[in-house]
Amino acid sequence: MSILEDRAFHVVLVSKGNLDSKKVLDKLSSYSALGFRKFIIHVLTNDERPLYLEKLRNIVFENIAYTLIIKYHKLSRGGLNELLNRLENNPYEVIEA
Amino acid sequence: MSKYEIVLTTDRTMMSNHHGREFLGFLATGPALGLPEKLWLWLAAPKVRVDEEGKPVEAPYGMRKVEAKLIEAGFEAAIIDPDYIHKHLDSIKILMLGHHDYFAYGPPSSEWWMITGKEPINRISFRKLMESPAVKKAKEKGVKIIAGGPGAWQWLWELEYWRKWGIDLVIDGEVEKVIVEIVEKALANEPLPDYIYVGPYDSPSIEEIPVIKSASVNGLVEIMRGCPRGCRFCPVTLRPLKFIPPDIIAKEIKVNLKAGIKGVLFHSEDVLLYGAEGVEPNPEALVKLHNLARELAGEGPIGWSHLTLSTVKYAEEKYGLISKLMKDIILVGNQEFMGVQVGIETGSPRLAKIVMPGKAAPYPPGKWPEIVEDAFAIMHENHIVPAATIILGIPGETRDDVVKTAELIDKLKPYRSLIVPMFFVPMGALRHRDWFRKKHVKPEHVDVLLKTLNHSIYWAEEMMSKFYLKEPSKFPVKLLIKLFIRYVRYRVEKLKPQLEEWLKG
Repeated sequence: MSILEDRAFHVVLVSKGNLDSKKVLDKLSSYSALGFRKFIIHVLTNDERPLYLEKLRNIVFENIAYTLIIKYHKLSRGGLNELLNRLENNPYEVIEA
Repeated sequence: MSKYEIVLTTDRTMMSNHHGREFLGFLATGPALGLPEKLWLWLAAPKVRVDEEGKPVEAPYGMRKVEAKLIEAGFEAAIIDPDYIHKHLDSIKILMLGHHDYFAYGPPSSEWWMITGKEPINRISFRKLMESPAVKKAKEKGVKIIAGGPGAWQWLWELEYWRKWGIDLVIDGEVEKVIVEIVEKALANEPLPDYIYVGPYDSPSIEEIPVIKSASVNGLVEIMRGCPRGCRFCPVTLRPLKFIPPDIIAKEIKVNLKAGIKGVLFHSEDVLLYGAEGVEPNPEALVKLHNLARELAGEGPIGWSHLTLSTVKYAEEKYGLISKLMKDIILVGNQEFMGVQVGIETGSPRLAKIVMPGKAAPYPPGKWPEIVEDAFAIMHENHIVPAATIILGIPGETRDDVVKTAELIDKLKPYRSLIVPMFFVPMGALRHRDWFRKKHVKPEHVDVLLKTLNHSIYWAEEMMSKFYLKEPSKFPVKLLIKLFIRYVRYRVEKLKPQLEEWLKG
């Protein structure tokens, strides 16, 4: 069992422009009410790695309570489908923000 | 031929014992002032003794914990001095970096940088490490680079360097629970996340925290983790509180003594809260802990990393604990004084109530200035020399709050101490707030800066003549520090008329 991913909630974050941090943080907060304390944020973006993290900075700095694991994915329809297939047996939500 | 597939390292400003004096390490948070950069670096962070593989005799404690965790998991891992990474290029697969302040954004580096307009030495030194031939070669051969430690968050403000140096993962928080899995993934060439923040729910249990395998800088040993006071500007308070059992502490002291370290430096956000129930000190646990250290270290020095001023006052007034520990256990043999870090942060009861209501407990936060003064008096009497921080620019601060801080500094004049002003850096529960910038500096702030400088210069000169660096071998260090203090005094005197004019206007 992966300690990193154990009991994590997956947020699939599709980011096409400026990121709405508040929307993402509100989601994390709503899932924490269901008992989740660890969030894996899959960021699908056209921005380059690691520069895309600039848009995630607010989310990281606003959060103190939960474990956050941020993963990068190049934004594409195929990539999104592949990711969602992989997450099939995990709790997740796709957010456009 | 090296065997280490995992090399942990950091730059020279961290990989040093600072001549056996932690305070001197703070010089690395500033730029070289009045001295050539090389000499300044030597003064702040001289090279540490290493073995033939480049393994340092002493290394930063946090890195020792990660090293121990990886060794216990069966990996060939070692901390290597930054000058010896090239010796391991054949075997290395993962390079792990640790730092308190990678890019000088932490306090007090950011403040020196703002005041002088010059890059602090720690930032320059870290950049030199990352652009050294050894690190470049390691990256070229596909070595994964993982950066962690208390300064990990700073990478989010330096994404261009992150890209340029090919950092694979930045991890922030207590890593003992997750680091083995991360290393397994990296060695198996599985994709790594870009950033991990380990939250309090994934904090390791006592059983998951390993005993260090080799010595820590100046014999530092962690006795507890976390802090119950909940100050809003502080990241430590986010960690769950746990006390390290005495048998584990004893094992780590023995590791240090075996390596030739002479003393014990207890690390905690408030050493006097070891074994405490909330903020009520536990005299029995503290006396036992210190007796244990004395028994093991013989006549070697015993030190404390941090104290909270309210605990100093309460522990002394209720239990006579400070005098007991200092006179009966600590100040025996050759030890004449003890340096310790404390936080004043503000002299304003109003601001104290808002941002650090728990710091004064069990006293009311409105009494904060009196608590500070009483604690300073107690420490002065007991030969404890505090290096105290003051934070300027805390969100919500008013001009009157800063005036109150200046008044408090005046009251602290009779007490031997260093007072270090710091500009607010967004951390802890306030880490989403804006930085304190040059444009925010008001005349009241300059007044506080001058008062702290005058206070610290006065007492630094007194300590240099009475206590500090008395060993003959430390003479060159002592001489340079004396020259530096004189230089600072000269510069301040030169600037004074302009500043006074500005303060009036």
